[in-house]
Amino acid sequence: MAHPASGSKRAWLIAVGVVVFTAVAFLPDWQQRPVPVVVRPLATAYGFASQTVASAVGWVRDTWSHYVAASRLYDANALLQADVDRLASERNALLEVAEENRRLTALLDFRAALPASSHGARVIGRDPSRWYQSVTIDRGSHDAAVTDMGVAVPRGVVGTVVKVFPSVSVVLLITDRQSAVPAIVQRTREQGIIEGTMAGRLRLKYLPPSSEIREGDVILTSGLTASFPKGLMVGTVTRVDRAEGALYPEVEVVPSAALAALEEVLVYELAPAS
Amino acid sequence: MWEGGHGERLDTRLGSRIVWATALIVALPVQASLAPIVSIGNTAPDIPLLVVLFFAFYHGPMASAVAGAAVGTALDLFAAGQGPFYLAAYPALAVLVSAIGRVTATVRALTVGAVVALGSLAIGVGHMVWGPPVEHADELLAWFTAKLASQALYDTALAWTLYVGWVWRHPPPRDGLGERDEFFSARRLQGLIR
Repeated sequence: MAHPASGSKRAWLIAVGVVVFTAVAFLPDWQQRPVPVVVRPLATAYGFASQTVASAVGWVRDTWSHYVAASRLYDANALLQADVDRLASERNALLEVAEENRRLTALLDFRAALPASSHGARVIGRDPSRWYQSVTIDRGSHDAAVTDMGVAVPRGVVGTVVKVFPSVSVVLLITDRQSAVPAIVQRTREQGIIEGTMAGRLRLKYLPPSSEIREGDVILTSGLTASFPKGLMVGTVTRVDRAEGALYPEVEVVPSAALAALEEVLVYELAPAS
Repeated sequence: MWEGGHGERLDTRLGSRIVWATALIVALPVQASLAPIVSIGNTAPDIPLLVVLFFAFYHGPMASAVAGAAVGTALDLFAAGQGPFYLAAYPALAVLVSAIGRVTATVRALTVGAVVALGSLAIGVGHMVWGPPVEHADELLAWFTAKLASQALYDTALAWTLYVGWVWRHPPPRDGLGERDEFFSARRLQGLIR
């Protein structure tokens, strides 16, 4: 069993030794004096140990700093991500407003470009017979609607009013085989008649045999009837068939207006008789 | 208010007349507004035609002719066609179907399918003939296969659905011609019709 006094003396001796060693090794005045041969190796060992510890402490401190910085980065990243989400939401809202603005501007420009005045109408039904291609709109004789009025959307011609009731009207679509609208080829300026087919498409007839019409040509209204002003888009040529001996080339046209998804249309007042 | 056996039968008749009249009246608005929703491609059920044909199954020629004329007139008014095509076609078809129903005494699934398919085809062909002449044979052929056949198939399928849902459990009565015109001969309407 160890005596308690011997432990206490040893501690004191160690403490005094450390103080003396530190004073000998690091005090400037003492370093400039000749160091005893015994003290120098100890000082070297201590210095090495100190550097090692300092390096370790520095490493821990750096690691901790990086960890703390990473934690802050994580928080900052979360905040930035929230900002990104908010900005993306705002961007979508702005894009929606821009798109609405573009549509309204197009509609206003479209209406402003028309020589004939027009009125908006809503499509409220399809043909009840299933065999004609027509729609019913919510404008009738109470709204000054009359037969032969032209109906269109900004993308193109829709059809012609064929029946008028007090509050509704029936519009025959241009794709119905009873429909015929005077038209002109935008590029060649050749005139013909756009008729509907049994397949629900369009056919441009009565072009001159020497017509240079080709696929991709744009067909417009010619303005030769009171129903439509000149220059309304009708469709695009998709096929030209020049059969030998035929009186005129067979020209198939795809309507530019989405006739299967009509919701709102413009009804044109009849142009005054010239 | 009727009471007893005969009165109860009259009450049922009145309810039946109200149901049929409602079906005839709403057929067109339903067709105009709901058909695009249930359409498959370019084909939607011909609800007015189905209502007239099923009415003819359950009623005599006179009542069927009147019902067909009423629906046909409404169709001619609100469809985009010119002339009284449906006013001529629907009563004729209804009278024919009513006679078929009387001859066959009770309607079977095959009868329903055949009558509705033929009725749909007849209306389609009649519409094609009634309209402007067709200039291209290939276009006509395409119309027959893509539009007419699919329309007849859709109508027939819907008719069979109605048969399974209603006609099979409530077959038309085996009455004679005069009795089956009771749509107009019931007491409450006697004063108005005769």
